[in-house]
Amino acid sequence: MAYYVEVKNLVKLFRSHDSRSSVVRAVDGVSFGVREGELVTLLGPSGCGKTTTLRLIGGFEIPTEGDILIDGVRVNDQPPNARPTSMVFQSYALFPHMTVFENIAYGLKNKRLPQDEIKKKVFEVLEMVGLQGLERRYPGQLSGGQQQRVALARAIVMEPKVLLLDEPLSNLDAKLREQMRVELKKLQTRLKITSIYVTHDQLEAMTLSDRVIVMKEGKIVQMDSPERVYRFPANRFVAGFIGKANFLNGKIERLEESACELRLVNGTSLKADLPDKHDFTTGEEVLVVVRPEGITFCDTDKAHVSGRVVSRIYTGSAASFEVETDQGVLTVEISNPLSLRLPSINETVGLCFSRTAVSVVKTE
Amino acid sequence: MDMYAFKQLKRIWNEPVLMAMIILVVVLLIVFVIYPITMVFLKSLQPTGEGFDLKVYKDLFTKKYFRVPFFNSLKLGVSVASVGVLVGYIFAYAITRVNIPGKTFFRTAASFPIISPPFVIALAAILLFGRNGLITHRLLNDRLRFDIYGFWGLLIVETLAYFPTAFMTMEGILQSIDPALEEASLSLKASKWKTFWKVTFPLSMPGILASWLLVFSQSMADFGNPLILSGNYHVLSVAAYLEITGSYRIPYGSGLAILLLIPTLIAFFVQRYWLSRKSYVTVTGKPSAMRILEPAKWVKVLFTLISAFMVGVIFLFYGTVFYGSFTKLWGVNHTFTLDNYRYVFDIGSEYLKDTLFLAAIATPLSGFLGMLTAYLVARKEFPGRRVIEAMSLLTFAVPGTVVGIGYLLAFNQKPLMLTGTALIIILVFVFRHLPVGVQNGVAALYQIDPAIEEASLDLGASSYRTFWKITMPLMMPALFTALFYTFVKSMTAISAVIFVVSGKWQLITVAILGSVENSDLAQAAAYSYVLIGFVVAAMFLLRWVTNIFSYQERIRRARA
Ligand SMILES: Nc1ncnc2c1ncn2[C@@H]1O[C@H](COP(=O)(O)OP(=O)(O)OP(=O)(O)O)[C@@H](O)[C@H]1O
Ligand SMILES: [Mg+2]
Repeated sequence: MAYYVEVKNLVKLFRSHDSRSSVVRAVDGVSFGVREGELVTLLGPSGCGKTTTLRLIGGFEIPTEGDILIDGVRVNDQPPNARPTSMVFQSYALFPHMTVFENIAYGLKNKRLPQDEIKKKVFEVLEMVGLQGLERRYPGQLSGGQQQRVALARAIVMEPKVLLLDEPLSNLDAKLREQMRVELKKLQTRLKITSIYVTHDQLEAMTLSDRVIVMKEGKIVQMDSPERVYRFPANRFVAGFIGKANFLNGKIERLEESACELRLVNGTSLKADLPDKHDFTTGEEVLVVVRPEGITFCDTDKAHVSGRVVSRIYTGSAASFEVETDQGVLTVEISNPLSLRLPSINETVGLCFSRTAVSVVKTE
Repeated sequence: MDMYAFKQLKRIWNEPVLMAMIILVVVLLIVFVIYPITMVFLKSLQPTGEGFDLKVYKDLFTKKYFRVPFFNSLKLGVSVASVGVLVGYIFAYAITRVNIPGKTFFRTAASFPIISPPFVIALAAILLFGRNGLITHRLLNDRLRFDIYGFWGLLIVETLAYFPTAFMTMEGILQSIDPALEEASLSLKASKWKTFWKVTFPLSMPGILASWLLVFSQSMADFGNPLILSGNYHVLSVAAYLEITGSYRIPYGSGLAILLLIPTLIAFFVQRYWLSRKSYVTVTGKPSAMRILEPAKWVKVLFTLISAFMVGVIFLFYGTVFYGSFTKLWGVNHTFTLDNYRYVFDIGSEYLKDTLFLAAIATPLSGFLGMLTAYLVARKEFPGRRVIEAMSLLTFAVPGTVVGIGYLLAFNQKPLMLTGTALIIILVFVFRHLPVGVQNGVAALYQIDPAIEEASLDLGASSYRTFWKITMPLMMPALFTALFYTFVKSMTAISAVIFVVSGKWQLITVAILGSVENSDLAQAAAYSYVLIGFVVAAMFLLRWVTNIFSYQERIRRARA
């Protein structure tokens, strides 16, 4: 299927602020595509170039190299007002001198829609985001969550071909963020707007997106569905950045089509699934990624590794342990801890890895 | 040209309105800022009108007649700057750090000299200390042999006129020094005296240097005060003026103007591009919540007395002019009369009308051009952006005399034959006061989240529409300040326009000078107070308009 938004080999250099000669490679050869109606997140640590990528698509920055296509049209030279995109800004960027109504109507006026149609659309979208009755307030008179909704309403009322969101929830407190995340997801599924969503919060990325693009230092390191990014991280960075991970050294003993048999340093062997496409070879030294929630306590003779419990943290819905093994300290997370007998500190325990919690990455 | 600049250009090319605005601003700045100054310089190299040589400058440095004004101006500038900064610092310290009573009152009083016509203080000095002076003649019966005309008179008058500039700059600096630093020093067992010299003073040093340079430039550029008060103490601005309008030696007048320009330009660039980087504190305009360490009683009394003395002098000066405007003949017959005002509104009404008319046209033009330039400079990326900013701020540094001579020379020939028209006066007003608009505008824009304008573009508005619908309303407070300043300065300025006024278009300030030259001091006083009346009216208008149009006010009302 053809991509609706296509980014080809995008590069953006900034002149560095501190030294005149050097440049910052904020975006460094990024290519990806977004299908119609899809929500894709750009995920990565601070400074990895997510915002810059989004701003390039929105037309707020001029690419140093590369092309941006929307619906088959190259938009590189179009200013933001000519592009079929709408952006929700991290700071909301509401017009402080306009009421909620005027803020939302602003873009429609720019489209020169007739008055009554503007009115109709504004009230529709106000209802959609649950802001009925607040249309005459000024942004300064709204709570953070309400401001967020206005920002969202202002963008979607334009019925953009592509909705761009730059950490739209990052200014909200944790509770509200969770609530807005759910609402956002519902709204997006309902409206089927092609969306690109920037965040450094992996939870947000996992819950919202159809596909996740993980970035690091201006480059894409992995691009996949949330499940697959989690299940088959492309490298150590992704494994550590998305979710928690234990790393063990191992070696590929035998390679099957999309699975393999591993031998850990302590001699135990285990099976692991591999992604469809991979370039592992038999005998290769690898890092074995084990998700903490996929580890259970078991008898030491059946265990993949054994060790001594050094810490135990109980959080109500889960308990987490640190176990010192000959492979280093491993983290174990037990959900539903009340149903089990839990080991105590200094107790020697065996650890069993469930197959779905194990993946393999290069040692690099 | 590198690829990046090329891409910027390409993008701008796609926005014809933006492109047109950039070109408009650039052309205007080149024609009305750069070109006139260049003409002054060129003229000074053409003593005979043909060919170029350095004869003028040779003469300026070898002939005593020319050399004296240069050194006189420097000496006066250095003296006024030093005394003015000292007084300004004490004043600022008193208000920000000593917690003297009546701060608002003192602050308001200190702003009089900034917004009043510049030579009112000189006029007051003559009324008080001149040959028929209230103090020298009446009170002391001429026993004191003191001549107000000359260096000392100018020092007193210019200090009074310009210390408020220093005060305001340093008030900002002192306010932005976090009192916690001083508290930290005290808690480390330094005395208050030591804390001042080791913490407060070093931190305010960049501000002190900046205001020194500012006052120095103002004194160098001052024209109105020396014209009526310098006596035998010749200074550059007046010498250049006399050279051109008295002796018609335009190359020499231009040469003197260039000599005047060089130190002020240096002061400006040092202040702007070197000192501003040295500053430890960033002046945000938002003073931190002020905690004041209550000083010793005697310190408070001392600072209150000094401040009261300065303000007392200001009141004495302005009061004297007010009193003088109701007398028949100053120093001779002090009977109360309204004749002077009658004269101003009768014979002088032409001057009033012309001045108001010209200022009223120039004010909005300057304000909007200032905002537009600020917008382009602060918000748009295009090659040469910094150059535009520097050009637009240049007139800050260029003394009015230089601008006046420049306009006289530049627009006296085809294709821009403007001499004698109203337009040339308006243009002087517009471009002379443009920097205030640009600077205020840029400052305001830096406080507005750029994402707000990006959001507007994103919602389909063009750059042009974004400017009018989003940026402009948010810049209203800055615009009003610029409008107010331009109006007041246009009404009260003299140094540049005196070169371009004509029989057809006359200004009040010129009329005041005429009255002083005719020794009709009472009449000059009445003119001055009418002018002050306009300034005060403009101030109230500004406040009223701000209340109506600023969105903050609208929101405040919506809340209520
Ligand atoms: N206008 C600019 N001038 C110079 N450098 C810039 C500019 N904008 C961004 N950068 C640099 O480019 C890099 C990427 O910045 P970007 O804002 O895209 O990061 P980000 O992934 O959005 O980070 P965050 O999660 O912190 O928002 C950073 O190193 C940043 O310092
Ligand atoms: Mg960002």
